[in-house]
Amino acid sequence: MLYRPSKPKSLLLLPVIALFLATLMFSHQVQAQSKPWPDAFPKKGADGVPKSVDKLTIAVDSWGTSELNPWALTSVSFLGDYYNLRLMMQDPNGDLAAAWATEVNQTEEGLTFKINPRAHFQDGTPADAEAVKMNLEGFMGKHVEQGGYEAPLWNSAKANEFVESVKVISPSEIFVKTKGPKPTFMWNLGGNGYHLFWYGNPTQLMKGPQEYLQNPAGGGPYAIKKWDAGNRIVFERSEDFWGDYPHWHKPQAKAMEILTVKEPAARFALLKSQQVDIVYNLPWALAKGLPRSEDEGVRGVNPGKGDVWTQTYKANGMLALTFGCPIQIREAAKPEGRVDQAGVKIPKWTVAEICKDHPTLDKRVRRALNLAIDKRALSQGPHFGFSTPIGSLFHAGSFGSRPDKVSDPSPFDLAEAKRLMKEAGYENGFSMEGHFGQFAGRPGIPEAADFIASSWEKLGVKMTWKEHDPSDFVRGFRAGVFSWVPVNLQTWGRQDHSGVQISWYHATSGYVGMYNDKIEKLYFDIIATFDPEEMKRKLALLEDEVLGLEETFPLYGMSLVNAYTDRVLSHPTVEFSPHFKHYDLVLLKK
Amino acid sequence: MLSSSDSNAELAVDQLTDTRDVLPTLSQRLRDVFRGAPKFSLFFLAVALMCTLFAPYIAPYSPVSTSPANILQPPNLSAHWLGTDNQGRDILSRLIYGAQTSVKVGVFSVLLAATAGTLIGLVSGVFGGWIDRILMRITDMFLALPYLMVALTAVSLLGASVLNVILVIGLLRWMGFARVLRGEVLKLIEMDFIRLALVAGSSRTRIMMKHVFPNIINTLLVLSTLEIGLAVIVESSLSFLGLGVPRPMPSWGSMLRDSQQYIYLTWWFPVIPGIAITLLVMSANLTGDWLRDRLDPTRRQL
Amino acid sequence: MGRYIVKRLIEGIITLWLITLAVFFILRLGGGNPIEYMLPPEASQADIDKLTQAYGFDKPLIHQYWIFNKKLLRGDLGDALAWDKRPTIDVVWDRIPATFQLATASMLFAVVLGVVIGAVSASRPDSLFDRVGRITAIVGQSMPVFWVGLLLILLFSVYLGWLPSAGGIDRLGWKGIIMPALSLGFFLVASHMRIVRSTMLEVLESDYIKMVRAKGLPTRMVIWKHAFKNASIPVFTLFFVNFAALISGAVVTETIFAWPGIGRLLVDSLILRDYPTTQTVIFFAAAFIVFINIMVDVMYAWLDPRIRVV
Repeated sequence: MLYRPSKPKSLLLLPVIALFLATLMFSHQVQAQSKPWPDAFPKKGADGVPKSVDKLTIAVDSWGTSELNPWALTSVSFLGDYYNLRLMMQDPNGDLAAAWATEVNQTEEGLTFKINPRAHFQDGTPADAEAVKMNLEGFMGKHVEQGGYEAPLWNSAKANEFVESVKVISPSEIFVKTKGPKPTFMWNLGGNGYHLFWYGNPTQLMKGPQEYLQNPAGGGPYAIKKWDAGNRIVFERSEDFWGDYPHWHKPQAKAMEILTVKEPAARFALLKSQQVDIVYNLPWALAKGLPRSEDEGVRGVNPGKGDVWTQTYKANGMLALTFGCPIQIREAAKPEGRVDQAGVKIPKWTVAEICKDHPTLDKRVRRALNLAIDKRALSQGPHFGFSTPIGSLFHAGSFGSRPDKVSDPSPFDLAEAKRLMKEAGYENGFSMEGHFGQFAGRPGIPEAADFIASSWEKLGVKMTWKEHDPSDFVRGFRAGVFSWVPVNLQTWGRQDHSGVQISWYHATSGYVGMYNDKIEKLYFDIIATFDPEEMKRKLALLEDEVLGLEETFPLYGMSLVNAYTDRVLSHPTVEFSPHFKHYDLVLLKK
Repeated sequence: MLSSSDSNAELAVDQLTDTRDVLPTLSQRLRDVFRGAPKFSLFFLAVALMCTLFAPYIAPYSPVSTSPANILQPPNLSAHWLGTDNQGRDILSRLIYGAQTSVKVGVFSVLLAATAGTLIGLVSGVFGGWIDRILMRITDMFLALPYLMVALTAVSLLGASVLNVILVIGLLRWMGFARVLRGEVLKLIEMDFIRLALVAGSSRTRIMMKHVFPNIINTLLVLSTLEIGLAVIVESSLSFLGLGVPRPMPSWGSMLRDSQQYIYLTWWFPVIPGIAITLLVMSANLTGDWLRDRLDPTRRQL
Repeated sequence: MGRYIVKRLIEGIITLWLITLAVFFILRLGGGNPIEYMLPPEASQADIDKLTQAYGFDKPLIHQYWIFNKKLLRGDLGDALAWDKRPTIDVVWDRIPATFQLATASMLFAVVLGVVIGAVSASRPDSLFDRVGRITAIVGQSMPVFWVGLLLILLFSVYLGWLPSAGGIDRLGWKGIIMPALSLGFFLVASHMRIVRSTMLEVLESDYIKMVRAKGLPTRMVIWKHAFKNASIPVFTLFFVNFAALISGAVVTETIFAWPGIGRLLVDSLILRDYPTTQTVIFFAAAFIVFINIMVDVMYAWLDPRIRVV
């Protein structure tokens, strides 16, 4: 909006106008660099960009579980973004944006969603408030037996923790009553950012799991044409897709094929030979030499510098070093009969034999082990510069994280480490077994394990690392079980909201046991705090307390590289993001 | 008794009975034993054994120490003869330490398989009857198993460690021994000296241990050597699939697994550990072939 | 003859049944409740117990095995715990064609190359060609299948940029099978070559041929046809026996080349702790091996009637 004076009244106004225009342009430029979408991006059907192309092919290392039914998922399955609905979503700038619901209003009682009246499923049935209600109740497990489903959804506990009841006010308005104030509702359930719930077509869902597979018609921009579980999926554009938002509308690609290719070199080979257009998660060593859209122009737009270009999700996960013995001992001493925030009983903790008298029970030993790791060398060396040493438990750019804390990792001081070990009585070191697991989309973990083993060799600590399958590894963190002692490498997928992240540290869910009584009180307080500034303040307190226990040490935040062939014009997507998103917004040259 | 002509005779007898002329010398004996041996193969096997036993003394660098400044260096004569890996670790040193896994698994899994297989083959052949039928039925079942799939499954569930890999491979490869040795035993028990022993009242067990077993040792030896190669390949395949020794200790298969990401950036990392595996397997196979020719039943026993 | 076939078939079925027994118990080796992998980490004990009961995993192992057998008789190998919980037979059946194509292509390559090299070697014993051929054969038999795959990727994808290295025939057409087939079949070239060579040499040096030569009658063609015919029997047997081994070896090849076959299905199912699918994959592979063995035995029995009596 330009300010234009109606009459050239006085020349004095001119410099003012000039100054004003300059300021406007300057701020616009700043905005263009930090929020370039949609302005700096090509548009479908303009400037020679075709309105429709035949096919987009993507190779990923994993898309989550190979399951289609949103009521029968055993874990996350990101394919759901393309054929099913989300209540709300993130636009490429990372802001909360409309999807199935056009707007949301939240109070301490609950949330009111206004549903887009044009929404409908691919088989024509309207996607109205009643459909939302059925889905939410499905998540809570209310349709389990009658629908022929054997078990509640993998995240039903979460749904039940947050939702008290759902009331249809009108076909386009719905009220979700929460169990008390739930300020983190949207991040936990809404699908914003870290999407966890996909909303399907209730008519199809109520037919039962086997029937649903025959026709998984959702409400999204794509329909499933071919499904080869665990290997590839072919989507076909839904020509009467109802969405017409700038961030969510009919895609350019008529067909979209996604392949799982676990071997990183094979993914790259496919890209180079142009068998695929996009590779999700290109190994850092290979990405190093390739032109980055961030450096050359607008992030997410083809810089035109070669046959392959890249875009990086800056902080899609992190790795922390955690010593489990002090956690086990503390938790085992707590009284029985506790419940977690979802009301689920916390089982009794036992202490592993090895922890009863372990060197890592001594805070000095733990501190020494952390000091011995040169995090910068790890990031610059085996990680080829694609990870960032961090000093915070919270992800860079997330709600509640403090930038100065994030960018200030613990120091590297081998001399001090040796001194501490000697003081604690372990001058000659000891042997230890550690545990880790690898997860799709989170590179660099085995390299970190090897690097740490080498670092600790200098303290005389002889390390062996056992690798576990991801499902095993996650389950090992269950309350009372906590198998991964005396030390493990905890890996986190990105959490946009630290208030959500801290609940994963609690009780029955994964990565438990970080809290002593004082911190636990703080935790329960935080998850009911509605005022964002107040919440941020308390989160900082909690983080300081947890880090002060010196049981878990953040190591690095990892980035994830998307690579594209020259055929891909643009892929607007969130700078800080955990998963492959917005493939429906990809624009191709032909 | 002895006259002057006797002294000639004495001399003649002396000459005849001079132990140094009639009985072979040690070096002659050794040459005899190793006649036609594949020299390089035996040498390489000896090298592998040395690496297994004396790795800390032979390896120029630590297999565990990373060196971020030296990542992915090509082979060079000054510092790293075989180059470095993605952590800057010396590949030659890791190769030497990795030999431990291959040799241990190769030797002990074959030991296990040979023991189990020999026992079953012997019992089956000597006792015959329904014992034989049941044992052969079990052998058939094991033979029908897709062994790599079952090995993968078993190690995955038991947990990856050298011991588990040895157990699993050993328990999936005994059938070859059992079958072949049973065949040998069946031929042997038709022979007269066995029949005589039976008639003389020896128990079957005694016959098995004293008369049959010593005569199948040759075949056992040949089979064992040939099986070592396969055991090494299976172990490296399991390591390659992620079921090998825990980090950071190297095994040749897991080195190849790690090298995959860097296949566009280095040739030495994905190639050299594979050469080591191939050489070890080849050496074992060629030695086995040589033993088979050498210990042919038509010649004398070792 | 018919009786012999029936006898072998019955034995085969017993063997297969024993295999299901073995696999069933192997899969319980690690302990642990597979239900825990179907539910999220924060699932309540009540949820876990309920589902465990529903699936019958709380019953004693023998009882579970009994139920498994009852279902087996009905042709029901259970439902997958992952893979949309479809019946495992369907899940595995979808993937079999890809493995079959791979095994066939590998075998074709191995037989053709092996026979050609073996025959030429036999015709020129101890020549340079022969010696180089034998050394290559020995080396080839000593190279692990996955390493051959890596080398091929290094050569054909990285350096030459000719061939893609992942996908499957659906996507890539027949071009996509070249590298996987080469890497899987390579070690078999050696064994075929050696058998052909030694058998043909035996025949060429046999008294019959010497006599026939002395009479001055036949052309080289006749000698060769005779030698070839004799060599083909052991190759034929080897072919079938090795085919079964290929199914097993396909596991690594399918993993490297992202080939959508049952080998890769096994690896993926194991990671997901999906026992029923793992079981069914092994069962299918074993059934195939048993079938092949029966075919070979029947063939031999047909050729040599004495065997049927044994």
